Amino acid sequence: MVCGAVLATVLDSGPRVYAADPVSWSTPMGEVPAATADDALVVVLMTNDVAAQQNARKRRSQPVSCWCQRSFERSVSRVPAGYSLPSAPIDFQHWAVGLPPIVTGGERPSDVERAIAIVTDGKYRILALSVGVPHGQDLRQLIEDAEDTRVLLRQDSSDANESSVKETVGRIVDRIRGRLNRIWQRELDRQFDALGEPDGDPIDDLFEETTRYTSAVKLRLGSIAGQLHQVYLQDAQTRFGLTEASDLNRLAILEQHPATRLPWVTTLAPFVVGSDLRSLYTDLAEVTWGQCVMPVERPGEQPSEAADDPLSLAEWVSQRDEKRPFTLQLRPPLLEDRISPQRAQVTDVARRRGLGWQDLDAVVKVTPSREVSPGEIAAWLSQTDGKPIDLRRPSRARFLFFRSPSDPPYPIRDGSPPGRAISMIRQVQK
Amino acid sequence: MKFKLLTIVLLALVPTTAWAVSPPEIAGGAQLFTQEWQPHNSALGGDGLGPLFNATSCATCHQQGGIGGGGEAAFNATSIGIDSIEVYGRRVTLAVLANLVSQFHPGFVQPDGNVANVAGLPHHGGSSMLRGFHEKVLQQAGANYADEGGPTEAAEVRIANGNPIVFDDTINGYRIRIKARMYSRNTTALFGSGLIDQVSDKQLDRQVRLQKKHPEISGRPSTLQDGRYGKFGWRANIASLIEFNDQACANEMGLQTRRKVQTSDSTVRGYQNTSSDISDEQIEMLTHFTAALPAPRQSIPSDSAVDIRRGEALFNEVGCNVCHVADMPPASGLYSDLLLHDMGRESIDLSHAEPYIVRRELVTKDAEILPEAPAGFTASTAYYGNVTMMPITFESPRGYESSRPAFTFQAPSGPTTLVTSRLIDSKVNPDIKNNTVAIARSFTNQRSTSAVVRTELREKMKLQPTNFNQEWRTAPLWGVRDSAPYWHDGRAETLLEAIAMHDGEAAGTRDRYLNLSYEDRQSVLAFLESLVAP
Repeated sequence: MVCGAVLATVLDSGPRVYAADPVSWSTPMGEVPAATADDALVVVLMTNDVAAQQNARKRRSQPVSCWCQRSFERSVSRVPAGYSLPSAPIDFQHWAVGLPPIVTGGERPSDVERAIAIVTDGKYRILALSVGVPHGQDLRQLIEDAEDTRVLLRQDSSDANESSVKETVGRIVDRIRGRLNRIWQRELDRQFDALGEPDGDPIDDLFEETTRYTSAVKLRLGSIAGQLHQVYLQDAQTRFGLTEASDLNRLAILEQHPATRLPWVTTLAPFVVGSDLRSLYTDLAEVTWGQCVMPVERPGEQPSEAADDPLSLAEWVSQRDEKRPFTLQLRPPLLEDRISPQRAQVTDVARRRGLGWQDLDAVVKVTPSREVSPGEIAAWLSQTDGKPIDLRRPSRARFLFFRSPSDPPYPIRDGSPPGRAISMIRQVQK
Repeated sequence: MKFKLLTIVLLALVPTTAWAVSPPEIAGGAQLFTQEWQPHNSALGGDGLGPLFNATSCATCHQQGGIGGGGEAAFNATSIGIDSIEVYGRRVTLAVLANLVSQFHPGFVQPDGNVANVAGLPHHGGSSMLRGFHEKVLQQAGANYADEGGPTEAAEVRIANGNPIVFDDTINGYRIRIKARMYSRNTTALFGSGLIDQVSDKQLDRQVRLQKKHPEISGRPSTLQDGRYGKFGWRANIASLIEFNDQACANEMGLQTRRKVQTSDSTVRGYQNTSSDISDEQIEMLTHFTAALPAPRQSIPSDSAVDIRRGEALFNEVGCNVCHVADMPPASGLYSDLLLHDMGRESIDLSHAEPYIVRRELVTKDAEILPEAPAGFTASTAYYGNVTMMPITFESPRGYESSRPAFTFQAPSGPTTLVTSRLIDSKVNPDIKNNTVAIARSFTNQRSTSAVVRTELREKMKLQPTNFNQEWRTAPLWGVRDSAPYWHDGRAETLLEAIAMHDGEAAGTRDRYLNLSYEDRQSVLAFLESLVAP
């Protein structure tokens, strides 16, 4: 019998010209100089790393440190040098949004590392995004995609015929439809058909009315992401041979590779493009990772300022009666963690005796109560030198009950039947 | 002229070591490989292409990375497999069952009247009635199919396989409920197949011994009935390249060979191709050509060399190399042990692997030879693997109850019997004069009474239980970059999906890979991407 040649090894050394300089990281959410803001691009690498403790003065000199830094910087080095010009620079930023140890039991969380890469314009309007660490040519493609989107948004913005927002989104939908398989195309069309105009005055130009448009996107993001998530899970199940709930941890690891969540993020993109990343990033991270995140400290802003309530948590607690109990209700992530267990089952007998989940909600309402995010808790505990608490393990904390402002919190968790907590609260209330 | 030019190009690809055969023979094989076959072969007297076929030439499907490569999902061969059957009604005989199942698809009914649990769905040819049946099941699968016949892309492969097909009907007083599923086989690349052909059975035995050091891995050879090991095909159920070509001609193009009957149209019973459609010499030339196809190579871009080397080291470190063995001399850089491994439940296909024969002994005995095969046996049909014949119990164990099925079938996950035999020689035994008693005792009057008692020399074979629906030959990784989609049915679009799909014996290795850092995982992928078509 005739035989072929043995496996030959060929060294290929084709000419390539890439950005040679090391990555120069900029301040998260820093202002892009006005002179270049119109043509600049900002590439944000958002990870669930825990932000280093920093103060405003030192922030600029803090080196960036994240779990995928080396891989990301290598991808940056593959972006052709001509893509970043003095007149149209590309700004690289790292936003670390992982919950700090003070709300993860005092230790660095052992979560699977996560990453999202978002490209915005100089005003932080989202142009393109991907889930995972861009690898090889991924980042270059993401930047090219962002440029294409910007051109399209500009065209619509300057269009004398005044395209509606839906028409603009429709053009983006048309542009990306070919990248999806049939299942995702169907989902994309379904979401587009369901897209209505926001209440009140119609938004004529999503490029110009960013704040209003971002509010509209924020309102519908949870719903769209939730629906896409169902399709994604079914798709991922057959793509990666996932059969059991425990396989979801495998999926989280696979999501570090951009190809894994590519159809999901491609389908989502038309519905978030044009909105302000600075207002949307925590929601975006929550719907993607199914976990709450810690807001990024913005230049010149205290963490509490980022909260919706003008009264900071510390101020609110300080206004509590010294001897009266109160409750903090933990806001769940926008899209519940896929890995966390369901609420503990309550027996019929316990329910009849008033020890069910609804009874817990009722008894909590009797005390002063405030809904807070894990980020607010973290900021407050840090300010007050509070003891670390784990808000997610062994199961997600639903409430933190305080006998008084000076007492330590008592976590009431989804994984434990609520009977004991109800009895205790009732006893304290007597 | 077109063929001549193509032949010159193809010959340029063939390494000079191949000239030991003879350039004209290889050139002839190259021409046959790309030849567009037509119905009717006046030279040989056969019916030529068809009546059923997946493509009109070898090169139609084998083209990725050059002639002889793999094929996209659109070229997948497809089949439908029955998971279970329930029949309600009075007494179910083989003829009744055959009639009922043929209403779902007649391809399950074999020319000898037996009912198999898998039917091939050749893409082209056949009567309009057969095409009607094909269309019906393809529609139920809910996937999109390309003009070539296979699913349009990996996602459609997954849709087709993921949608159970249910046939529920009442026919002639019987209610039949069938649960079935679509299966696909992706076109394998033939590069370097001449080297695989030369891998000895001893080497496969050596790999089995080596793998005993790894408790989680239990590779085993594909033991063929005739005592050889299989090395070709997704199930490694074909021993040699020439047989692989022989079967491909018959199954994929309906080119009957002297050894292999072409796929028949089950709606045109009684039709027989009276001659071969391709001669032995032509099969040999095809084999010379495929054997001479160069082996894939490794391509290392200078700026990725360190990464690729590191990826290879990690590939070995996590244990991929236990099954994806780099060298199986003379197939250097093959990255396969050519053994069968249990890949887990998600990889089931009812055209199963060869049962694992672990012991053989010759026995002589007087036996009843019946013209029909016994019920429940495993039979080889197309070269995709074996199928199971429906076992029929002729003596109904209980009386008729309308609420209970009179017949049930569940596709077995492994061999239904652990002892089997094959006939070596057979002679009429002159000492036994009355040869009908035993037959009547065992099979009553359902079977033909034309049997005779003979003395047989048989090889008795002891089987080891295996999950044969989910056993697959370790896919050679050489040329892997240029052979997407991956997995036996092309359901995996990317290498990452294919790695994640590893289960069964490979679950531990998969998890070790996933537990690597992101960067390390990318290095392993970079290494795999460096394995390219020649």
